[in-house]
Amino acid sequence: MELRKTRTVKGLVSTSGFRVVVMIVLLYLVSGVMMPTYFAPSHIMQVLVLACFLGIICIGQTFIVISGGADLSVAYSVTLSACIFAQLTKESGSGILGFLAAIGVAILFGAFKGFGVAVLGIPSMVMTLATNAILMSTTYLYTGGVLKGNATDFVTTLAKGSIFGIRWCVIVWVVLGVIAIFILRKTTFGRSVYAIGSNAQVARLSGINVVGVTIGIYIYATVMMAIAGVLLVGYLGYPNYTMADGYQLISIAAVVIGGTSILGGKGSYLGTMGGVVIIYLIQSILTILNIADAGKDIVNGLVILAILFAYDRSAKMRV
Amino acid sequence: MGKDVTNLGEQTVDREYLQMEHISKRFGGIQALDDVFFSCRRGEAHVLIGENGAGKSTIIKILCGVVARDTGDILIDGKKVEINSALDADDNHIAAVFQELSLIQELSVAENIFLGHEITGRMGRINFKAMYSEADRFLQEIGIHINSRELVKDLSLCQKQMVEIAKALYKKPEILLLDEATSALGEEEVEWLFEKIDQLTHQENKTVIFISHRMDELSRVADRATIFRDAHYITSFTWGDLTNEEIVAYISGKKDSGANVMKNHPSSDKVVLEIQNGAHGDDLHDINLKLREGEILGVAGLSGHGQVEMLHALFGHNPFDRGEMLVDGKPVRIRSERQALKNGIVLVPEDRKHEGLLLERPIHENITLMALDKLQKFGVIQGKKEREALAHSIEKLSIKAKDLNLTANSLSGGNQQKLVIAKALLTDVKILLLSDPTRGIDIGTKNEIYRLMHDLAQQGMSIIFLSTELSELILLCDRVVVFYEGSIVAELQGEDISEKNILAHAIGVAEDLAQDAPSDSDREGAQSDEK
Repeated sequence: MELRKTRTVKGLVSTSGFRVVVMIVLLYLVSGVMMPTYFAPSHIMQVLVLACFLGIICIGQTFIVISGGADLSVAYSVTLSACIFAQLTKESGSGILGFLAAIGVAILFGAFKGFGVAVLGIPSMVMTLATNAILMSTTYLYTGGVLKGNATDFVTTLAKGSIFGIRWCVIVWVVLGVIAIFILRKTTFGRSVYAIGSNAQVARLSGINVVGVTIGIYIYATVMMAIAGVLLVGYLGYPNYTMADGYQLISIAAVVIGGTSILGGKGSYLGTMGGVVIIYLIQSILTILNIADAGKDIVNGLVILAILFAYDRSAKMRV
Repeated sequence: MGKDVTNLGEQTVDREYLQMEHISKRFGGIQALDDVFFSCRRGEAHVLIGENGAGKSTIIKILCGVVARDTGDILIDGKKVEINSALDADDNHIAAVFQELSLIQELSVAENIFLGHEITGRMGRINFKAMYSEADRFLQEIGIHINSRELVKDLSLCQKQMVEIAKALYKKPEILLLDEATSALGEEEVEWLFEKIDQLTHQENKTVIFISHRMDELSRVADRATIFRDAHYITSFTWGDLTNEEIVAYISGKKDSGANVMKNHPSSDKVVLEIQNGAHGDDLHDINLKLREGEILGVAGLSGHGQVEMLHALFGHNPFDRGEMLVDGKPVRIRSERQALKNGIVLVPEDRKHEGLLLERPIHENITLMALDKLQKFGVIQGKKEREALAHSIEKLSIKAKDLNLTANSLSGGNQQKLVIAKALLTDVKILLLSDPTRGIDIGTKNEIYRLMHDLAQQGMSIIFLSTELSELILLCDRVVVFYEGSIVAELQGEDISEKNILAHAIGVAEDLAQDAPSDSDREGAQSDEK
């Protein structure tokens, strides 16, 4: 007996990966038919550039959702790190110091979230929502209500520059994504993430350090959000209090559209990458339709609901 | 025997208040009741006796509408009644108290007692003042000293059980059902309950039907008794007409199978695990145990007497809060599962679906889950090592799986159980704790597991084997310890490991038996062994 994937046609069609690919192709064709310039490689790159920030945020969200939680502190986990990076860089004149401080604060708050969830037993959504409020106040306290600083040249290049026609930020996303996929598939940490999300009691009885791994998950996740925050500063040129508000819920939607079970224990980051692309393809179609921003959010929400509903149905049909 | 046994169906029919006839019930593949009779009279305290799974609880659950019977009739006062729901039971003035509590933790004692029939004022507003004073009055009247304003979650287990009983009594039932209601009570409270039962039956002419495994208590309150065995009705008798020995014989069915015995493992004198005065909360006390190298030590007792808790304590899941634990003669502190694993102690939990397996994860991840530390380098799982480990496990346990990437719940129960055992065996296990590993699996797989246990013991592994099936303990164990009310009351060896002996200790009548038959001296023997 060997470890081989089932390679029957039926098996392939029923996988979430297949559905994600089909949906990406369909949405791409639809947007291309409506606006032929969207078939051009430059537009594909544009979608990927927009997607990479959410994509990096979603590395963290994917780990947390697989472990059976959901992070509702995305908005200010990103924003606080962005503000610290920008302001400290300006004050100290060292981009590296600013970056390290942003990551350090992310580690601290990640451990805080993980401690609340794993040790105090607070439900993940409640813990992270409360942490978001703390992060928000910390942001305002740190900046004193006046945003200071801007991106260093290096970070600006990373966010906006390109090499051989490929944008650096997309490369950063792919590199971080490959690392995330490797961690989930090939490491004891990754196995433990799935085990905890699938059944924490079984994980504990199997000798897995549930508390340690859970804290590790939240630290890793928050660090990824911090990296996204720093990159966003490079993209926007300066930080902004509401720069990440839009990512809060859409990050969970992208993870679930990518085939990760909202109940935990199942999923992959490759799927999430697909989910992120799907979300931005939907947005580009809404842009073609020229819907006002407020209306766009409504349609966006409805489309996501429809996709999740369809998933739920097909999941039930398979049982 | 049998001379005084009342034959219910025929001669006493007109005096019976409650009658159940031809009752059958199946849960999936398990016949819980097979064409069973039961009847009892007004003003009678009637006890149901039998092994675990004999059908006692199912009878009670059918009577109070929790479980629907498949066939059969229920008659009260000669009239046929339909009991298909808890409401039907209410209408027929039947109330029940279960071992598992049904109280709502976040509500007060009074709110729980009045749940569903609150005292209300105008517009359906609950009159809390009246409810609390009525509840206090009632609790006072029946002799329970608990403030009715207290929240149930703040009460002790014993007090909760008292409230549960009070709730049932408040309904003024004609028939009161008590399913192991004394298991959580202290001695004083048991005394109180028995007085209550006496008052209900002999003064108020009500009927009380109860299940208890404490034979010593029963003689104080029982008027009559009915014995069940393997889902069948065996006999009914007036309490006192049968000796304890006769009762045990009826319960066990005197079956003594001499199947191929797989014991007498070459156990050396080396003690690999010793527990001294282990205790955990109210569940365990005075646990003294020695486990030798290469021996299979059986753990017996009726469910809920501390056996599972001891295994969980040994594995660090719910560690002992008092006492000493020695592995290979050296004192160890085991406060978590990881520490137990480091000391070579591994548990195969009883509930494979909720404690043993990640049902939604692939088979291969389940098998190697416990041994990941051994298969990694710098946190990265070594593919080659993992494949070797998997091949080894699958061959050793002959696990039948088409594809190791399928989820664990795609396997049959027997193969799932093999996965849980395979998981444990991939670790550096020296002391294997098996918690009812053959529950609910087919006979073929059972025999494979027996063979495996035998082989492992012969290779020097020490096994603690908890089982609810006496026949497997007799088949495999070199020694058997019997639990009763959270401690070990007997340690049986060799010839003394018999159904009769185990059962007698498990229901706490061994002393009486010893008096009836002086040759049975295992209890004294066990006590001196432990010292």
